[in-house]
Amino acid sequence: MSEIKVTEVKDLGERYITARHKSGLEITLIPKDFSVYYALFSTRYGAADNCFKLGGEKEFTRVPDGIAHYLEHKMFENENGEDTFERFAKYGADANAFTSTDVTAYLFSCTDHFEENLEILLDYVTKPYFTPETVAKEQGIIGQEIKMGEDNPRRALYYNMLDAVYKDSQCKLNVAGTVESISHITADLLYSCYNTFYNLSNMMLVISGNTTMEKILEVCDRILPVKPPVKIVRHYNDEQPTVNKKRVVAQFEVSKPMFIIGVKNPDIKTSSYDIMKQDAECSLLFELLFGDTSEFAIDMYESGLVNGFYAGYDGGKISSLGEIGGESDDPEAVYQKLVEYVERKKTEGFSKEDFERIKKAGYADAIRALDSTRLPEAITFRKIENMDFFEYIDIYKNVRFEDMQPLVRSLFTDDHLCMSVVEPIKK
Amino acid sequence: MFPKREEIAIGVGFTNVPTEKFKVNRIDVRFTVPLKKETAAENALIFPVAFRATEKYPGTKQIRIASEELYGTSVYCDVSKRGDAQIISVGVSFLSDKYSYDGTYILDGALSLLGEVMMHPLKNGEAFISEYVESEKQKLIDEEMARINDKRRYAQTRMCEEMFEGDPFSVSENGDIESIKAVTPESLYAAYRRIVEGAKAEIVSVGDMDAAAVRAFFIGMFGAVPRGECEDVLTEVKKAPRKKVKYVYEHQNVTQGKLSLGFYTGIGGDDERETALSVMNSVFGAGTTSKLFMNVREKLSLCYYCSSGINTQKGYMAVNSGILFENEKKAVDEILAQLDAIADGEITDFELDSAKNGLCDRYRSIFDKASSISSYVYGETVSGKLEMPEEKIKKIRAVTKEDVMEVAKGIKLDTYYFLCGKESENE
Repeated sequence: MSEIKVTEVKDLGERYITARHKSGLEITLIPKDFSVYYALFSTRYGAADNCFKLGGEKEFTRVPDGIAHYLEHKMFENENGEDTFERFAKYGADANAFTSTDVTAYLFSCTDHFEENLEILLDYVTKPYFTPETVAKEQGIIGQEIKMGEDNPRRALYYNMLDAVYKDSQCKLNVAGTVESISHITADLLYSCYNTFYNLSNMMLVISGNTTMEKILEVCDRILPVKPPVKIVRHYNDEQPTVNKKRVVAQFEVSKPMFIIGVKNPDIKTSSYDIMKQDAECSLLFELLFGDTSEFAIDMYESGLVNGFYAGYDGGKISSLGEIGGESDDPEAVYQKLVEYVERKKTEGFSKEDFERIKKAGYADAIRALDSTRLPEAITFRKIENMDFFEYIDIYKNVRFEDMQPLVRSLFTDDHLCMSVVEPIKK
Repeated sequence: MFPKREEIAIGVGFTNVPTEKFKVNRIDVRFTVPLKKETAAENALIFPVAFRATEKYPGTKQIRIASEELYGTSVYCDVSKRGDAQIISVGVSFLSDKYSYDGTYILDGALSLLGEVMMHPLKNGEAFISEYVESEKQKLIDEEMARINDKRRYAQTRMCEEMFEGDPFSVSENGDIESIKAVTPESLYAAYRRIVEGAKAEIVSVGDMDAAAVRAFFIGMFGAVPRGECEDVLTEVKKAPRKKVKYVYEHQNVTQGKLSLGFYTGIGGDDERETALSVMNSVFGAGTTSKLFMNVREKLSLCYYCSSGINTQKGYMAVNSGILFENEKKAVDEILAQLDAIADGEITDFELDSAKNGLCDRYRSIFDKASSISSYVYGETVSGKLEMPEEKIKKIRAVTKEDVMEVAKGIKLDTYYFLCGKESENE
């Protein structure tokens, strides 16, 4: 019998229910009075996991880049020839999937027949079926997807930023791989990845909607295979503490130069609590430095130097970095201003009043996410690294003002900063 | 029952949709004016300029600080087009007072912030502040120029411009660059007064709040300006397809071609065939069980995306696809063949049912999101239909295969747009 745990988050008027199914699958339900049900079935496996072994194995297996995403595409085929989308469509569900650096997720949303749809989701993701022919067929579709990405200046801008920040880390890999790398993918390799990462002990199911954990567990009992858990050993490349390149510049058919300034944090935390704390502190620091009411953002906006200015921080177990971006006729001038501004802040410090006000707005942002019918996504993104969405809100509320100034001093050093620029093609 | 609308000033409607589902409430004010080449640009600039500074908050920083103090209350503005109308919207979204942890009255603050930016923008006699006008003009010009960055959207927009050449609908909701440049602080202030004093407006509030207070606030707001008679905006539905298809080829430095086909449907306004058309569109090209997805993408691997969409204000359908240049003819042939198949009745029960299920699902989920409630209620109000989603669902369920065949027969290719890299073979 799976133990069901109910947690009340009184301040936020929310309640969530967790259980671990006997198959090893971790389940979270957020009951919501919505017409929409949303279910996300994910594995802790993404583009960065290209080198791994099972506990007890001697050698690491190195697989072609882009294979996690390729595998996601191939999961939609079934042995009896049935199309997965058609199965969902029969019950009016909207199905989809996505792959990122550290997760592959399969999802559906529906307003009716929730249990039937959940059954389909659990069924197709636990029944892989590939043949050399079906694997070959996918090369064309994914090849087109990669090509489409190559035309996208924003995507190039982002990946070039990662390339500037990281030298060896797998977090810089293009999720879809390259036309060349995917040509080495075979059915056998797909099975090997599947059998490693799609073990239910490495997966999670997060659901929101008007249902109960008992109903969910009943479907799990019926569909999920019970297999021994696996121990996955992932090899992540060592990464130097400093940035890889100061600048990466590319040309595209765009009207105005676009830029992202990358801020590398070499201090990668391991425990989930430390990751959350670092993420919360750095996120608040970024709001103080570059948020809506910061001197810098106001200056960029009023001077018109930057359009669509934004800044944000994302801390995780293989990468931890900040981004500041927008469009500007003179990205170098923005970079220079940013360096001068941050240097000044290192000595000047911040105002406690600003800090408290910004925290209030940040707390409200977290609450906004609770209104979304796609809340399971936000919860999953935390759970990938065994973090708790609600605990994060609490950690955020408890970030200390005194920690801000030391943080700006340690994070914003010259060798942590770099910039990716996409500029218009010179005629 | 459709929520009750009340006329609270000349040409100003107010509709409150009470719900306790959300933690964040919203209020939207939408002004409707005819879409015209001469006025589109100035209308688009009004609120971005008004949002820069007000009598009480003399700068961007002060406005943003007020937002943060109110738990990240956000005031926003936008322009869009709906048929031959330009919609100028202003709104505010704010946390429910329940979640305020320091005694702040968020609703009161949110309303007065909205009132400030709408009715008390900083001015200089009968003109806006020229510094703000110039900077917002530049941003809008940049935004228009940036349309080429997103090739997929660019191709769709270009097709519409070509299809509706000479019609108000071909005008961008932002106006064109020439007319943006021509806007002066005086002409913009005159446009502002025309809007707040003489444009039809609809206010929709959604959430858990004191509706009487909101109503009283807007009665006060519009009572303070001299409201005159408002102009009705009528949209003309496309009357007939072109006798000869209009072909447009455009060349840019892209690796993937973007195809956009414009079809005449002739169904718009009060046409009773609208529901049958949306089912037909769903069978044809909306979603993962549609004929375009299953055949052009899945079976023939001709593209990465291929989908259709309908516009029931102007009476047209667009098919958009990303393809290799050399697949142009194959893809177009297949798209047209699939349309013919529907007209010939090659529609399985499964296709028809999943199309209907998908549509019903979408209508049922509207009330799960405050922003979609607001735009749905607005759309039903201005179209005069005043139907709740349940009524739409009933109509969808009643659509027969014959109805779908019938509307498909009336659909004719009108405009053919292809964005490609080199010379096309068919050009």
